Amino acid sequence: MKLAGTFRDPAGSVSVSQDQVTRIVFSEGLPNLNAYLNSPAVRRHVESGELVETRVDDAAPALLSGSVIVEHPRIPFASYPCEWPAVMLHAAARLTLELCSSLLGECLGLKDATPSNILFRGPRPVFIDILSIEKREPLDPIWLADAQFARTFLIPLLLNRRAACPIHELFLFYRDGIAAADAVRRLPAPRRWFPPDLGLVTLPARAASLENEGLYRGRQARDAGEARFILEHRFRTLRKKLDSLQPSVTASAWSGYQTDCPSYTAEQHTAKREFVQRMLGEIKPSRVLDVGSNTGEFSLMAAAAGASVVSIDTDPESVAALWRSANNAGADILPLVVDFARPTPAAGWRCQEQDSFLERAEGFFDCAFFLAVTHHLMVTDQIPLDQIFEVAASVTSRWLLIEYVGPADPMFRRLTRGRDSLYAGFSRQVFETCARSHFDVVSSLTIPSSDRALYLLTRKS
Amino acid sequence: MGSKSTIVKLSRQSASNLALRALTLAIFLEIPLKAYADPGSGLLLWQVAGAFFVGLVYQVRKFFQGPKQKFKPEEKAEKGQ
Repeated sequence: MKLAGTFRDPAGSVSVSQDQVTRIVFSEGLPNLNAYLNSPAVRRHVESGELVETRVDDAAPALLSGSVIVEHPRIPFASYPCEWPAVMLHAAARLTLELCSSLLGECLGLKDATPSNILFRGPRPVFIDILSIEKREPLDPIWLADAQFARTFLIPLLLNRRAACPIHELFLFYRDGIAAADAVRRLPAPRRWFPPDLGLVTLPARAASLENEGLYRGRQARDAGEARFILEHRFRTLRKKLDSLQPSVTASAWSGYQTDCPSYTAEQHTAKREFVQRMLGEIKPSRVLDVGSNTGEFSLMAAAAGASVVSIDTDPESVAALWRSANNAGADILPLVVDFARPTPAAGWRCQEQDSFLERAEGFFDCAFFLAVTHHLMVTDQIPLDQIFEVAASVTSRWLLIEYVGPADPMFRRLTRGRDSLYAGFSRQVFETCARSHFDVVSSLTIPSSDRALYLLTRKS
Repeated sequence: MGSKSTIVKLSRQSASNLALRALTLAIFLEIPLKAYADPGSGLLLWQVAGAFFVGLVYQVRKFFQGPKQKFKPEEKAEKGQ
């Protein structure tokens, strides 16, 4: 049985349809919804695109007495922290703190602070969980979501910086973030005794032994001014910590691939670029999935041609570089850390709170790029070619731009590591035969002086 | 004026003393390994302690800003004369 909607928040429930998100706000959530709808700060954030648009559906019949139905536009492609590089988690954290600071002046606040409240529209974070915004008790000087913010944003970013823990791997297993006591063991011994590690992980991990029943009792400042002063100071401190955890630009085995381009001569690379550019001009795709995008040379070309692009790669540094390029250029590209051979699984209660990557991708795109990637899937991941075409046919509703890399190619031979005999029967003819089980060939180009070729295929109806 | 600076000195001294004690305590405390330990209690405790000190700063500022504002209009009036 498929879950009807989200169920964790007692204030409301969300269900998603083809192009609309419907949210039922229960009676206990109505005061906060009204405060949200009347807030000038909320309006400013909605206008800047940082907060999802909300429309109260007066015509819709309320399913429960006292409940209200609101609608949001659907963010085209949902992504999760287990698919983000560190820079995207950092951008999501920054947005969360910005919201906290600007809502504070209107006596509003966030009741939780988790990356699950945020999706990305292209490279830009959008806060989607409007029921997280609540009216604040004016004398309360404590932000209860502070610890959750640390667990789900600051500590993962700290571990990424200090111990090179990839963010996407951490969130695959720790959906609710990392507690200070778990993080402290992963930090290098001397560094954990200096800020920001000391105040963020080391001391809170030790202070947990002072826990008592009175810890969670409500606290009140002497006046509203003091409470606001304390919270403003808290958000400034968190902002400074976040700034100190800005992910650095680091090189990886693949992040220099596009510029060094060891697999192509300048002439071959130009031929490939021209073919892709020409095909994009002819087919004019609206939604492109770029598999093995690296730092996004072809994703950027597709975005420039007017497509909305989702780019996936296994290398977080390459994905981070593409996020920076797309964000600076304002290109409609959502870069994600996803291994196409082991795509993100479904997760959560009954494995239904978070769809798998393939479920989200199925039928969503009208074009898929598989450029210089099939030999990695075939040789490194041992995926049979016919299955690669079968899955490719499930993610694109129409076009497939794919590159053939043959057994004589130096990169192919490097990947086989002496097991050349396993692929002795593989040839361009075999590749085309496999392709024809799901696609028709529209156009092709042999890359000069190489065992590589490019194909534009169209899916059989 | 002498009494005001003494108050500031005292509040700074007591704040730094408390901070030092909390730091020493935290360093020598062991990291608890409890089945039902709340993952956020240490961070909350830290926030509460921080809020106490920041609240103290606010109160000290307020203490000095009150008399300042009292004298301000008079100063202006004197200048106007």
